[in-house]
Amino acid sequence: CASLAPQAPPAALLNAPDAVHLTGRLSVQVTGVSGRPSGGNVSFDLSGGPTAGQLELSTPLGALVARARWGGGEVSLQTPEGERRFEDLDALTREMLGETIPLAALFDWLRGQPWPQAAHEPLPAPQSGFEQLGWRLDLARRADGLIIASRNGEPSVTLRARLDASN
Amino acid sequence: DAVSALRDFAREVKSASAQFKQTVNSPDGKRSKSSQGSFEFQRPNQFRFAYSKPFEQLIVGDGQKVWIFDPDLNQASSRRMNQALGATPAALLAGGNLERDFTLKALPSEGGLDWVQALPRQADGGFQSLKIGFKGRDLAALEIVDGFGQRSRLDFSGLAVNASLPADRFRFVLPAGADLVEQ
Repeated sequence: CASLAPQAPPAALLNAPDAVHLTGRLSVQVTGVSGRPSGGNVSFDLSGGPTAGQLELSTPLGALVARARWGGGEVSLQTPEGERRFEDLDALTREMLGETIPLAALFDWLRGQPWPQAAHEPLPAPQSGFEQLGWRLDLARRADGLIIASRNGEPSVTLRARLDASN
Repeated sequence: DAVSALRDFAREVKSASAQFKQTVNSPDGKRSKSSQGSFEFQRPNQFRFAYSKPFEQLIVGDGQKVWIFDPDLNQASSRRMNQALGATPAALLAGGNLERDFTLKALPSEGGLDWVQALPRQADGGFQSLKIGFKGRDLAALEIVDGFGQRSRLDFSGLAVNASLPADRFRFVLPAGADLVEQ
């Protein structure tokens, strides 16, 4: 395929003072009535914030397979097959990961904290974590850089993220 | 030159094992990640990439499926081989028919290695270029530039060829308690 001309990301917004840069590995499991989970595991590179940012997904062997960008009212996804635009981040994550994942909240969840823009409920002791937006965040192994977010319902979704030590 | 070295390699080397160091550079060249591990393959289409640093990750091609296991995430995923292998680097090294899958072109020597470019005949290989570096007749390096311009280079060392490798090196057994996701 022709090389995808790298448009300049909204750099000013990406490098805003509160901009975040998180890298690691991500597994997504979507289990419907069939009981057979679908999904996969990829490496991720998440930068910027809810208003403007970029998410790159690569295979374990180091090939970039998807780059999502959002900002200035635009949401786009580049893959080796080409580029597509999306209505919003929910539609984007449904395309990228197979299920709607609250990307705006993910910036905080991956740092082991609730998203400030919505209510949350701490998990009862001795568990470690909280519930927010219908998701349950298990932070029991946060010290190892492991964050598990799960959402019940049809289908159920489990997202496991392992942050790189360098974050 | 490197084209004949690659042809000889494809014809004569039925199995091999080596250590590898990998560096992945982002398209803008600003970010890079290094990792290392061991690599084994056996024709046709059986291979094993066992990453050890900075984290463990296992990729096994058993001839039918490609399995990826991440111990930290305690999850394995599997995908049919023809869908996964296609015109990928693993196919180039471990594939059954080099000339059927790739057209070969000699490149200038560089960094003490003789290079050959392998262009996939099947266009949707998902990468821009794939180059193989030889030190004399020995496989020394592999460089892949994907559709985004992300560059991944593997440097091999301790190459041992045509050793008999136990069959279970190319079989994946799901560890107890791990989840399996089929794509």
